[in-house]
Amino acid sequence: MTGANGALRSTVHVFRAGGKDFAYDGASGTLHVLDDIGRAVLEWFMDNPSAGKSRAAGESQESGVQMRPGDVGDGNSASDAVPEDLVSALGERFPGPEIREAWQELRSALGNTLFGCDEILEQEGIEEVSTSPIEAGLKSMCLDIAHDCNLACEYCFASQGLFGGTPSLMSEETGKAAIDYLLEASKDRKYLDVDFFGGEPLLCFDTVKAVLLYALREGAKRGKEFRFTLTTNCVLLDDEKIAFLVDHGVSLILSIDGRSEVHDRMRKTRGGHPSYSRALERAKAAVEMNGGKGYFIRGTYTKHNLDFDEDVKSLYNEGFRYISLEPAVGEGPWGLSREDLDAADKSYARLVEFWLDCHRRNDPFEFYHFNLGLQHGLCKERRMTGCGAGYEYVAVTPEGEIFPCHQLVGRQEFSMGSIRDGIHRKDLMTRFCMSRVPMKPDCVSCWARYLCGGGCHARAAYSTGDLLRPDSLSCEFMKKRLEHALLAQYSLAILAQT
Amino acid sequence: MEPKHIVPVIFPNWKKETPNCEACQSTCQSACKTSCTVSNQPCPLK
Repeated sequence: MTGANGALRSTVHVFRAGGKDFAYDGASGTLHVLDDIGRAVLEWFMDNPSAGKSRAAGESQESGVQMRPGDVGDGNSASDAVPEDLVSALGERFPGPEIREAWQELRSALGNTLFGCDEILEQEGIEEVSTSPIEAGLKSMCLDIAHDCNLACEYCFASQGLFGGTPSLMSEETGKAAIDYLLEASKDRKYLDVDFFGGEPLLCFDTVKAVLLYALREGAKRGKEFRFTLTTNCVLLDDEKIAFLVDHGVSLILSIDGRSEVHDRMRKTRGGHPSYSRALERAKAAVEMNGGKGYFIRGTYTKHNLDFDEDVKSLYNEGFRYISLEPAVGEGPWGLSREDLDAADKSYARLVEFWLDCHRRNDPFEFYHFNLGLQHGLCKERRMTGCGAGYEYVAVTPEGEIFPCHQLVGRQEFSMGSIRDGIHRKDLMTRFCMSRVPMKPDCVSCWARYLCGGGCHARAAYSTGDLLRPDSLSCEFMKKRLEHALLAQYSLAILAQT
Repeated sequence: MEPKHIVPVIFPNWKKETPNCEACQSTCQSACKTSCTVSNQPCPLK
């Protein structure tokens, strides 16, 4: 395959899912359904980008993949004739009139829904990537209430809650100082977000309560509104704590992995005991007390449960309707590898079927990663970056040290400052802000670039050591998942029509 | 004539700019935080 062909294939992704063929255009975000002839013609064109006289204009562009509506014919001119090579290549498989029909459909799509110009890459040249979001101020803060945990989950990125250090709990004073810092650093923003995180934040619930009440009080004085979340393993989530969290509108992230044997294999107490039964019972209580809303079950799948669709089903059957499962990519016997992609692919395929069945039965659930925001307007900023780590969002340790995000806590090269002295590593803020799709060589030529926003900064830092070089294994899992998410969105749209 | 071989079925309605991202929490996309579950939702400002 030539370079130009490779560029074409990276811009438009042709794939098969759910027994159908699709073409997804990375620039415009348009999803196409293909029949056999449509797929054959499109793939032939992608292997023969010089076919057709009018494409010379597209080829002359530097990328070799962008076309504009004016660059293509109207279906009537001589240049719209079906290339002889195409007829030769496909004539034995398909009737001539249908090849011509598909060819004309392709030509109509060129420069519009297929191989059109990428407005973001055109407008956001490397020199022009804006750092203006930094000037708008912080909007979100992760408070590491406890660098300690009552569980010792094998795959924990935080080293069983210790973040590579010694156990520590955030004091009320430090928590309040963090709120003061956020109020100041958020400048004119009105809506602020605070996540109570750990370790296990319920180990230090008095601080959670005091900081939350302080934020509400101080925010009101300045005309700011806080939204709160709390991430917990559920074991310490008693009714009294739930009542406080529900009363104050705190959204909950509840860590349960699915089936009991899957959960307990990785999520044991420090004493080595299983945690599933207690976690499940407490999670159900929290969901019930909150009226079935305001939560997400957040699980992890590993090499040990590549049939993770069964874990989603298990969570669904336990009554949960907001579910997310994340792939565990990292060092360790549990860590996913490329050889697991095929099994994960099959599991996502089954999950789409189950998800659709639940919709058909009018008892749907939300699977986080099937939400692509295609039709409801992901903004330009969200397409260019997966998150605002380091300039809109920061994490704070129990001692008040600031890091770009919760996953980078403890990596001293990413220490940005402290809540008492402020962020002194403005270079890091700029570096994170500039780490967007247009700046990432592997991303600008990837069909999935505006669905993933360039991947996780922390994962890149751990994997490649370079924020501009995403972790390729994570990318492979992401792209596989996105294929199924596109299928899910398409299938749901069809279901809505019927 | 309606296409029947190469049929566009989902046209994204992405915003060309970011007019106001107050409602978006800008945190992690990996759903290990509630805030990211919001940021990956259809934009409430739409």
